[in-house]
Amino acid sequence: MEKDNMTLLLEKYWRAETTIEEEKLIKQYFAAREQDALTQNDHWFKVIRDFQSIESNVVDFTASDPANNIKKFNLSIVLKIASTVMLILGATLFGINYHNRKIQAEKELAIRQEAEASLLFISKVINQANNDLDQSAGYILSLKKSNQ
Amino acid sequence: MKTILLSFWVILFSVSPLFSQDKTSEVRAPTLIDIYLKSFSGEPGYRVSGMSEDMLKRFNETGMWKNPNLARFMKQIKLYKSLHFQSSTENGRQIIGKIDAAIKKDRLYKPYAVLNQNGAISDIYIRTNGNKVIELAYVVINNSGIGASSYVGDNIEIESIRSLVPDK
Repeated sequence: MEKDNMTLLLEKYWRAETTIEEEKLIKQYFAAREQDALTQNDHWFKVIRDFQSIESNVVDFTASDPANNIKKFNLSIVLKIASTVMLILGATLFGINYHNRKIQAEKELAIRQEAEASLLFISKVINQANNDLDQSAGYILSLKKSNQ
Repeated sequence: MKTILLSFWVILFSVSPLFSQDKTSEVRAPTLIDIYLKSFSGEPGYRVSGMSEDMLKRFNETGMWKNPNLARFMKQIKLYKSLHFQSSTENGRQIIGKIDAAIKKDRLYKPYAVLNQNGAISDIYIRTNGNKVIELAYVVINNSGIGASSYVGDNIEIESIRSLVPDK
């Protein structure tokens, strides 16, 4: 009885006249007959089931222009790398220059202090020499006076 | 991206002028240090330093000298050189003796003043061009070795140096 009904439903199916509910009944029927020998219809519905199980793993591919894509990628990366390198180079040059100028300033300070100290010594020596000369002159004058 | 590139160029162009060198100074006659003390370059701790005319001009213009009398004196100076090397007192006395003898023999410099105080011997020499003093040189020997300074100018007023240290 069930088989007769199913035969009718299948005939209806191949004429594309089945409703959604009727198609569900057909599916349930064949799912219950997995272990039985497969008829031509069984094969068809097995193929549909297999296809549905595969369908969930379908991967979408989108067509693109490979040449245009590479060009965009390269230009962007190259510009980023170039600007980073230039920035690092600029910062490095600035750092080296700053360091050199600091060292130069320290050297200049040292030599200035040396020149100042040296001049103060010269001043001291000249003053001392002049004082000694004055004392000697005074001593000679006093000797002359005492002799007279 | 534009910001990065712009900042790079700002840094680059601000750095470039800082690397530029001062213009070359006028070539002047050798100093007492060049003539009599360069031969001791092999001595331990030998060090020569100096200030060019450009550097001195910059210091004068930017008011780098603390003492106003010193600043006034340094405006007359076109070149400064200093030297130092280590030497024992005995060796130093011999070197100074030789230098003094050579100076008296060459007659390029005139002894101006000498002071022997606390074991340190200081000699001051001047070089003249007519009645103008064009170089003032100072040689000293003390416990640390031998030191020398040379101040070169077109017309150095020696007496102005006396005001740098209060006369006792």
